[in-house]
Amino acid sequence: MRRAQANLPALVVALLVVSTAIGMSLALADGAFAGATRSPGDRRAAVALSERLVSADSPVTVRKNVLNRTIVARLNASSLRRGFPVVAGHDFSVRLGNRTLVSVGDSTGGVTMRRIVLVAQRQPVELTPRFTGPNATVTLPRRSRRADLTIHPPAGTTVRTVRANGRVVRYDPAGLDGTYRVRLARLETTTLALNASASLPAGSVTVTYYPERTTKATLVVTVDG
Amino acid sequence: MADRAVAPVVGKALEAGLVVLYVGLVSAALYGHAVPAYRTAAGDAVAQRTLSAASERVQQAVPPNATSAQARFRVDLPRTIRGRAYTIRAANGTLVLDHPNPAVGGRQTLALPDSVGVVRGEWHSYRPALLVVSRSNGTLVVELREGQS
Repeated sequence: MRRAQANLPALVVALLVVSTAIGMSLALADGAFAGATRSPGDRRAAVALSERLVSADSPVTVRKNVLNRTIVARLNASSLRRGFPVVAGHDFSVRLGNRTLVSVGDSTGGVTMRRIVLVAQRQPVELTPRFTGPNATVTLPRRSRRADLTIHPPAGTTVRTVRANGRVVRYDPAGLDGTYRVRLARLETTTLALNASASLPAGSVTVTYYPERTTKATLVVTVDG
Repeated sequence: MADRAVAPVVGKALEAGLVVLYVGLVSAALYGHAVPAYRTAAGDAVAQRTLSAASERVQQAVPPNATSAQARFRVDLPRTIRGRAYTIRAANGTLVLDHPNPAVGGRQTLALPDSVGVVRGEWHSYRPALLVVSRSNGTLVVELREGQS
């Protein structure tokens, strides 16, 4: 009886080998699944957030792809979540250049989108032109959306009209005296012309304009889980 | 003497029984648990991709809010996920993938400009999917519709 069952151990060993092979193939399948994971949801959220951040109607842009430095610096997690609900429930971070603007949760891994953007900042520049003769003109060296004119003519002289590229922007028959804000075309160089009754001495007119200075930066959006 | 004749028969029967038992156990374990789990995992991954692709198509379809803004796009969806038909529907600014299997599916918040008033409608995987953007009362309406073009 005992002698006849000599090949039973061999069978058991064979079955063990088959079991090991099955276990290994399952482990390989697990690895293949893990390797094929691409987290499409995170990718979509990162792409969508970066697109919406730089779009023309975004609250942080001046125009498409140009961020306003002042507003961007004031971004925080709650305002981002409110303005961009696509990242609600995700860990995310937004960086501009080397500076982290917002970081929510742990977003060390995840999907990262990089975009090259311009960061714009407007700073006031003051200009005190010198005039010769009663028809005073001054050309602003840089384009600006608006300008503040301070006019203090000497006694006996009146300034009635201010033109920007021929268009009348201020008119007062009694004479202009004080500070006036004028809107200018952003897309062309502006020449301001003042129509005065007599020659204006230096210092009686001051123009403050706001040229835009843009710098390039990389906007990095990371979304994780 | 009778014992000696029986021994190989018993031995073969024992071996055969063992092999049958083993194959049965392994088949039950594989087809009862491992294979359905992998199918569900693969199905869920496909569902996430399908939903992400659909959300991206919806987001990209939105034109600037001009006086006559219109857009029509065909959308390709896989016919089945994990062997079953499914639906994608718009609900409250999100896209939801509904699948008969509870472990497959998901919900994604859409990122749309303020000019979009409402996203509505649904797509069935077996029918041609169409994305229609129209304008009413100053806001854009995005509709998930069924149709060829």
